Amino acid sequence: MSHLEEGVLQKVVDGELAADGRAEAVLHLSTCRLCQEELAALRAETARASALLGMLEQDVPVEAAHAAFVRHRRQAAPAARPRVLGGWGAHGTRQALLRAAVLLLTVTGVAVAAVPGSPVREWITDMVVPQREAIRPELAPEAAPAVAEAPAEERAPTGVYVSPDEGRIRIVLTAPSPELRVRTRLTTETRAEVYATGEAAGARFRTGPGRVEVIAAGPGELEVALPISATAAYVEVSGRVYVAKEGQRLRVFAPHATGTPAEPVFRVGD
Amino acid sequence: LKALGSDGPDYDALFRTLYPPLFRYVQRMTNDADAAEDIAQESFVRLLGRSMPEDEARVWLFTVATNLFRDRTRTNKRRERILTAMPWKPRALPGPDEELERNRRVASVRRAMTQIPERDRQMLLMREEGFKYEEIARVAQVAPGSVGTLLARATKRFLAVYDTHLEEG
Repeated sequence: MSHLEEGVLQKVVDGELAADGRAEAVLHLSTCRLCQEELAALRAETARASALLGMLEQDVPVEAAHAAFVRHRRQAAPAARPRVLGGWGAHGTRQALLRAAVLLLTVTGVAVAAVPGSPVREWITDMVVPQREAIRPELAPEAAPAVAEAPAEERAPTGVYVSPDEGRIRIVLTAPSPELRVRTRLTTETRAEVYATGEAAGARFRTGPGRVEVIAAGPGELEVALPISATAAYVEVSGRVYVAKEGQRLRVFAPHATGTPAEPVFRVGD
Repeated sequence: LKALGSDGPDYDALFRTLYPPLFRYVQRMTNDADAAEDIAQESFVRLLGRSMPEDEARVWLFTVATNLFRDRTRTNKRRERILTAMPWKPRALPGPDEELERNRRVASVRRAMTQIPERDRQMLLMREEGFKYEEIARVAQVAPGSVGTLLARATKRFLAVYDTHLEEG
């Protein structure tokens, strides 16, 4: 029996094993103690390396950098403008007239088509509707098997906890699904806890001192408990603070947050 | 995903989303916050005028930043100068034991990162930023099928060098 290669095991650790190879790997791992041990070692090494690299975390000067970027854009703008304005010669005028004519015809056509019983409306109905009908059957056979072959995978909830580092806790969400819902609350525990349920349970977690990074959480729910004893605690999405602990309560910066002041809920994509 | 170029690129939103991971990546690559600011900023400036989906822009920015880092290294050996001239120093005032221990570990991590091959560092840091194997392969210019193996070996090399430094104190 041939063992799983190191690269395949690393793919398992990083959640990168393609569906076609997953079943085979899982089957082998269920019976091969050597590969199980190798997988556990790789998992431990990956987590350890991640925790160590997390120690290099430092404040990112986003605001200053953004201000500099805005200055760059303003400087770049005058150089670009003549290209646009330069088109307003004889050729540009012709183009403008052509655009105006097309716009006028479009508006007139829409207006006439909006009148019930108008010949234009009937003509559009005749032309467009059959085409739509003709397209549908072509798309259907491709779309259906994709749904049938990939049923939603039920995932067991996953979670991690981490103690504050010098009283500080950061929960960082990297590349989350816009549909991910995040529920935050304060806890009397001395450590922060993060649980992912539903499709979010497929997320990868990286922990470092006072820090949990949740990577590529799917469209499920994330429950975050921040220790009330922490001097500072944040929930960040792609570098922006969405929820922060302020004294003995939570302050919400996420737009369109719902829930309660004690347990706000926000959707990443809102 | 918000497509760039549909209503004109939303550079501000893109900057706020992608600058932090890009800065972190370059800062960890170079061990130099000033260089990280320069390179990350230059990468975004080069993005101006281009249209691509956000996911593509993310990979594109990391590729450009990596190339800018390499250019700097090639032209003036800046990397070696940075890495030798700016070693991590514990804070001047001695703190509690935990603080000193943490500083010692951070110093060892920084030293280890400077001593592993550049490709190892690049791939480990991209994985830290949540990139998929396929994206790592594109930026690191390796075969997608080899990423798992390369990452496993890079992890081992990094930890081995780190442990050596930690033991040496």
